[in-house]
Amino acid sequence: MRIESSKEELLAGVNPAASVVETRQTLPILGHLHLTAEGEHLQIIGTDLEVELRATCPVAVAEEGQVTVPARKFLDIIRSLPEAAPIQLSQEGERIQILSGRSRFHLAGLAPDDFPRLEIGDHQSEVSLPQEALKGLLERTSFAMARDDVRYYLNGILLEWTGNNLRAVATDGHRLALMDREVAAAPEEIHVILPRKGVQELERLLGDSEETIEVTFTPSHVRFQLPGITFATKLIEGRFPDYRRVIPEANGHQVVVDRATFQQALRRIAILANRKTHGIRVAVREGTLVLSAENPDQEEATEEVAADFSGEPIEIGFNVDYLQQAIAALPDDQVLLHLWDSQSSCLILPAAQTTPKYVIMPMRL
Amino acid sequence: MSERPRRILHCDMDGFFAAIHRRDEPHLREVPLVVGGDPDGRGVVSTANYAARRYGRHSAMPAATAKRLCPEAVFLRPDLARYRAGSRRLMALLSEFSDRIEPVSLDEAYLELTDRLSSYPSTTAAAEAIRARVRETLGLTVSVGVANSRLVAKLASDWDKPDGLTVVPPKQVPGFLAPLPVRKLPGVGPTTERTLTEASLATVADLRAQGRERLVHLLGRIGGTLHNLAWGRDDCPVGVERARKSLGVETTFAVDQVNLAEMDRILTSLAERVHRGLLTRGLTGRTVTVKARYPDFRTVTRSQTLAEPPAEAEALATVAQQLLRRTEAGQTPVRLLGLTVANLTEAEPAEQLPLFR
Repeated sequence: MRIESSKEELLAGVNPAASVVETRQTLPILGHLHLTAEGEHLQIIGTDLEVELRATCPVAVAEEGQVTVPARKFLDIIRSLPEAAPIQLSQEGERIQILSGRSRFHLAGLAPDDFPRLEIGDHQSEVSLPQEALKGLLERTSFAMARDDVRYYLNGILLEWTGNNLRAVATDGHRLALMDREVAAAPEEIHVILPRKGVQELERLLGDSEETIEVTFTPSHVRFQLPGITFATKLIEGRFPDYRRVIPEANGHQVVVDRATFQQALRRIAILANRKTHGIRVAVREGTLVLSAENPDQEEATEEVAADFSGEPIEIGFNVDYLQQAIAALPDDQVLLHLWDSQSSCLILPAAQTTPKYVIMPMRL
Repeated sequence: MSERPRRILHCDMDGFFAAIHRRDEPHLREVPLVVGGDPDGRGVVSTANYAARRYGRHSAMPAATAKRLCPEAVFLRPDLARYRAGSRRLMALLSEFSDRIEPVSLDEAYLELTDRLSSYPSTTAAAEAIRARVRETLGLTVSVGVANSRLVAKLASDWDKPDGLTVVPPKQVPGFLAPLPVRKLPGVGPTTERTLTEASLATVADLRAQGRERLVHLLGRIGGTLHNLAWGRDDCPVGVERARKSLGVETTFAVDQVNLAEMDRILTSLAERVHRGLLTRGLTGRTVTVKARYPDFRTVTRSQTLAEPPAEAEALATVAQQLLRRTEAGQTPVRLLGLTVANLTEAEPAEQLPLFR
């Protein structure tokens, strides 16, 4: 293999491919990137056996071939080379030489045939949708995913495609985020759980453009075809809990507050919330929403936010992080909260839309 | 040189969790009350009040069994914040009597009164004063054992429970211990008890009749310790408890285990014991370790550190079962299984309610 390219063009492929490589691997080769020079392109593959990213960049190919390079070192070298000088990659057995200006590096590669590929299996259905639609769905729900939960099916996002509606649901068992989006109809109903890592990579890869991406679902995997990049991830096998059961009807005591004002008040109150529990009190009464926090050092804070509310006062404890993350993800200027009592979840919506929906269970303080 | 006899108290609250509910919620006073896991799930009983114990309900019993035995019982989920608050007041009160106090759990502590009687004429008078203060300030009852060692003080507090005071003077220690079954001694678990039973040693008096060498021959190093304990010789000091780093239990099987499903069941019961131990100490931990010993005495451990401490015994059991899959269990017979939780922190009094129940 022998190619020549520029720093910018190489980085466009190396960056995303290296980002899926784990810092600690079970197999040495999983710390490598697989490079293929063919035609007028260099294909770069990174994998952790759960996700796989293939990036293609235009390069000048003098000699076709395949090599592997240690991902982290390769990325660091390319990144730190000067912008202007062209970069040459060439192969000497399993050693890879990088030449640029007056810099010269030799990296130790591994047998390219040993590099594992993700077998995504027979494809089931293929659909396309605008990048920004998928990005929006993930961005407004992914914060509620569980992390390393033994209920492994919570460590990801449920995607449900029924008719023209694509829905994303994430929950860590304490709070839940749901967002619907109208899209082109899928050929058949789809219910899959994208794992956490796949979701995070996708959020990085997806842009705000209306350009469509192709999505292929197989029973065990899903593959996303973006411009210059193919990203595939294993799906989480398992049953997502019946989330419909825990989303209350929108018939609670309604409180409407200004989103920016509420968000700033939450940010200030969080400073004195109990560091471990993150618990704060939310009290609503005629025309006002009162936030209060106290910590074990006997420090206290109170914030009042003008609110559209009339009725009997209600007081509920919440994890301030859960409120902050939900409010930050809301699209509208006005927030509508449905509250019941101190033992029941609250439902948070944009005042003028029915989606996204956030459900948060209270804390017993 | 003859030393002054030590004066040690063991204070053990009576059905602490349930008693707090009964005290604060008058409608619960006359009904059988069980605090613990979900009776429709797989939780275990943490504490039962004495009305419930009449029905055969006791700690560590699966809550579902308790419900079957006594369907009219009121089942409550633990309210750790209240127990912790009660415990703080209890320990504060006890520390007025001695600066040498060693809390064992939320509702249990050792007190050393040697050279610390202050204004009380006798250890018994001090013990009575403690019981009166607990009654007045906490509205709860406590059983107290008084003796010259931790071992006997602990056994004595259990002698006349609930609401009892048992004083064992040094001269009566051998007589007090003699009729007790061997399993009452610390360190005698099911395996040791089985070995002793096979040697026709059922009571502490039986142990005493043996020479130290015989017990060491029978049981190994613990035999020597048991010989001392059987004579009431226990000079363990009472001190402020060193910070606990982990909490674990293990069990040696009568017959080596090969069946994974059976080992899963055993891990579930170990998880319930560890979970209960953490609960009564107001602790939670994030690092779960499973230990397995093979017939050739090779011992392996497998650990996992979780983002959040497992909230229920069931979640702990699930992690333990996953860790078991990373040992040779199933292919190689297993003679011992252990489960430990480390990376301990104080459990949060504020409780986040779950979405899915």
